[in-house]
Parts: sequence; C-alpha cells; structure tokens
Amino acid sequence: MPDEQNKLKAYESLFRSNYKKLCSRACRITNDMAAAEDLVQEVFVNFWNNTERQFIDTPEAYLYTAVINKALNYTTSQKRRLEINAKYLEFQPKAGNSIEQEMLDQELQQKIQQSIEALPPVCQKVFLLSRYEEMSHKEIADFLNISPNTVDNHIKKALAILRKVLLSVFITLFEIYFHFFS
Amino acid sequence: MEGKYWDIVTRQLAGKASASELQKLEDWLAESPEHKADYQAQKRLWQLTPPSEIADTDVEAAWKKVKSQLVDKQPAKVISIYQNVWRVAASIILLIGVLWLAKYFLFPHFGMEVVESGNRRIAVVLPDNSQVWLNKGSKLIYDKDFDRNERNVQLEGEAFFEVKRDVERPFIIHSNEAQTKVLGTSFNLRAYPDEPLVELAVATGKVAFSLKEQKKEVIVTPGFAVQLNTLSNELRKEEIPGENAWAWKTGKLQFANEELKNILPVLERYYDTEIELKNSALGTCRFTGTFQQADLEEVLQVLTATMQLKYIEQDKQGYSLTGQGCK
Repeated sequence: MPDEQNKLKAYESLFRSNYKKLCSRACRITNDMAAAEDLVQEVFVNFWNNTERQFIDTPEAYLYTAVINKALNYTTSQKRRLEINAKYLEFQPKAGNSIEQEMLDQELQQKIQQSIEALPPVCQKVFLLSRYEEMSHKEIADFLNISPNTVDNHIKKALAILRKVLLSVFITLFEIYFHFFS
Repeated sequence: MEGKYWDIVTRQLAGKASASELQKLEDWLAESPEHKADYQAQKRLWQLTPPSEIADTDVEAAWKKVKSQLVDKQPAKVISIYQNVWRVAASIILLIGVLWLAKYFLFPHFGMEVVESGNRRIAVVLPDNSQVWLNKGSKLIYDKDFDRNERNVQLEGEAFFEVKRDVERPFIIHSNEAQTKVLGTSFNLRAYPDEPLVELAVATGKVAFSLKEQKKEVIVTPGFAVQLNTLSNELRKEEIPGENAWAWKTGKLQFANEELKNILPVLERYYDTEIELKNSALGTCRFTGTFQQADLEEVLQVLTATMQLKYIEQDKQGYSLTGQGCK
C-alpha cells in the first residue's frame, strides 16, 4: 500500500535524523554507549509497533521522553555504572594539570560516582536529569510527574550526600580551592 | 540552596545562562559566604561528573536492526494471517481426525485395563473385588472404574469368574457372539476367538446367557453348561457332572462312573491333545477316579490299566487307545 510505504519513509527519516542525537543523550545518563543504542532502538521499534503512533503529534518529543525515561530506568535499576566507570577512569593525564591533581580528580570522581550510585532511585533520577539534561526544577517535576517541592527535596538530599563525600576528602577540596583561586 | 539558584548555576555551568541570570547569580553569591560554598559544591560536583565521551554510532546498522523488528501492518498481510488461521484450524481438525482413527484402529481399548495371560494362567481382581482366573492365551478387558449401573468386561479366551454379588449392578461379560449376565455367581466361560464354540459352565448361582443383540436368554444353573455354536447360532444346554469344565484352574480331573467317550473330550481339552478310540465299543467303558495335577501319561496309564487297554502315541498329534472293550 502506498500509504503505508509513505509512512515507512517518514519513519525512516525520523530515525535517521534523531538516532545519533538520542543515543548521545541516553549515553550521558547511562554512561554506556552500547546500552544507550539498544534502548534508543527499542524505543523506535515500540514507537512503530504502537498502534497509537499516528495520533502522536510531536514524535520527536515523544521519542525524547521515552528515551530519557528508559535511560533513567536503566541506570537506576542497574548497578553497572560503577564498573563501567572504573573502566573509563583509567589514568589519563590532561594537559595543564599536574599528575597529582589528575590522580586526585580520578579518585574523587570515582567516589562521587559511587555515591550517586548509592542514591535512592528517584533522587538519582532527579540528579541525572539536572546534571545531564540540564533541566530546571520545574522541568524535572513535569518529567517525573512529581511536585517541584519534591524535586527540591531530592536535590537537597543529593547535594548533602555528595557534599559529605567532597568534605571527606577535605584536603583535596582545599587544594582544589587553592588551585582555582590562585 | 534555593532551587532557583541551583537551576541558574546549572545553566551557567552549561554555558546557557542569560546575561540577566548571570547578574542575579553574582548578586546572590555576594550575599553570603554560604552561597559561595553552595555554588562551589555544585560546580565541583559538575566537574567530577563529566558526561562520558560519546562514541560514534553506526546509524545504518542500527536502522537495519530496527527495520527488521517492525511489525508490518499492511492489510494484505492481515488477510494472509486469516488464511493461516484457516490452514491451522484445518490442520488441527485433520490431526484430531487422524488421531481418533488411529486410536480407534490401533488402540481400541484406549483408557481400558487390558489383561493378557499369554502363556500363563493368572488371577485378576476386578475393581468390584470379583475374581477372574484367566486361562492361557486369554485376554480380559475392563474399565478401571466400572460403570455405575453395570459391570462390563470383555473376554477373549477362557476364564473362571467368581463374581461378587451386587444386585444393583449386573456383571456382564461380552465375548464373541455371546453375552453373559450375572448378579453374583461363579462359572467358567470359554470363548476363544478361533473356536466356533462358546461354552459356559456354571459352578454356583444362576447365569443368564444370551446371544449378542438378542433378547432371548438361557438361564444356566449349577451342573449345567450351555454351548453356543457361533457358526450356526445354535444354543445347546447339557448337564455336566463335576467340575471338570474348569479343571484348568483347579488342576483336578474327577470322573464318577463316567463313560470313556465322555472322558476323552475332557482330557483332550485339559491336555490340549487328541485321543482316538480305535474301537468305538470302548466308548462305553466306565471309569471312576480323580487326578490331581497329573501328567497325561500318568492319566493314560491309569485308564489303560483299569480298563485293560493299550495306548499308542501317534507322533505329535495325539494318542490312540486300543483294546477289547468292556463287559
């Protein structure tokens, strides 16, 4: 049927123009490109196979929401983030930084990642949306369908926990302060 | 930390803050050292959680993968699915038919208890506690759960029945061409499919014997036997002395002043052999005696000694008796 053919063409161009973008958005949250690709593909397949698809006015918005949701669920339900990070966190000195500074940074990064990992799921989702999707309180509230107050509480909670981690390596922090203000 | 400023810092760190937002942030930071500490904490947190580097993606490969999983919704396909439904339905019906035929022809006694004696003699206890002794080469078929109204069994071969009395539920034996109906008795029924005669001999109680699909019944009482010739559909009732009809079960042959011509068929049946009289006058010789688990040779020796006869073994077919005859 030509109608169906046209629909498939439209769908293909939707896929081609959004796939890469969505993968990189998902990857920021999952920290795992393979997982990100898998879940973006899954979202696309479900979108086509969903009989309601013709009633969705803004497919991009739908796909984005679905992908981010999937990525959040993947990340908060999996305890894989840590090991993946450990792999990525291999020592790689950057130009302009002392080796000591880099090593401390790597250590801190690992600690912070562990703490994020340990956050309760909703709290973790709020933080991930704020950090990687740069969403405001209001946007996060809408996205997760919770009240802005709850979002605020979660952010405060996350910050308090992560601050403790930062303070626990006070000396490092001090050095960094020193480094930044010198 | 106030949510509004967290959001502004987020935008500032992403390089997306507007000039007015940046001004607001500066003012807020100047307000107190605490605000500065909050700002530094968030900034530090951002620095320590960099987004992972984005690896390159193969859009072409991904598209192929996705395309293969798309469900085709073309109407033409829908029709073919229905066609398949019909095909599947037809196949199932055909399969059921074939299975039914297979069951009917290959396993006519499906779900029934089938007891075959083979080369032995065996005793069977039926669900109603009736006992059945099966002679060699016999087969008894019955439903594990007897019917509520009737106790039906099917017999091929020979069996001695001791039927538990149950006036409510008649016990019915179906055998070739004959039907034997009892309430509670003991009797011997011989109905080998390869023999033209069906024979019923009653030990105790009363037995109703009838031809299949016929209303006519013959009531048989102890001491009597009835023979049905399945070729001619003739029924013959005769008096039988003793319990020799089910000697295969008891191992006991008993003759009380019996004529030799009546003794020989009993022996022939019991020992599955043939015994011939060279002189028909010998038939009237009478004999009284009991044999218990005796060999044929032993029986013949006793008979010939008592009646002054001679027996000759005729190859493997059987024996013949010769003599002068009795006075």
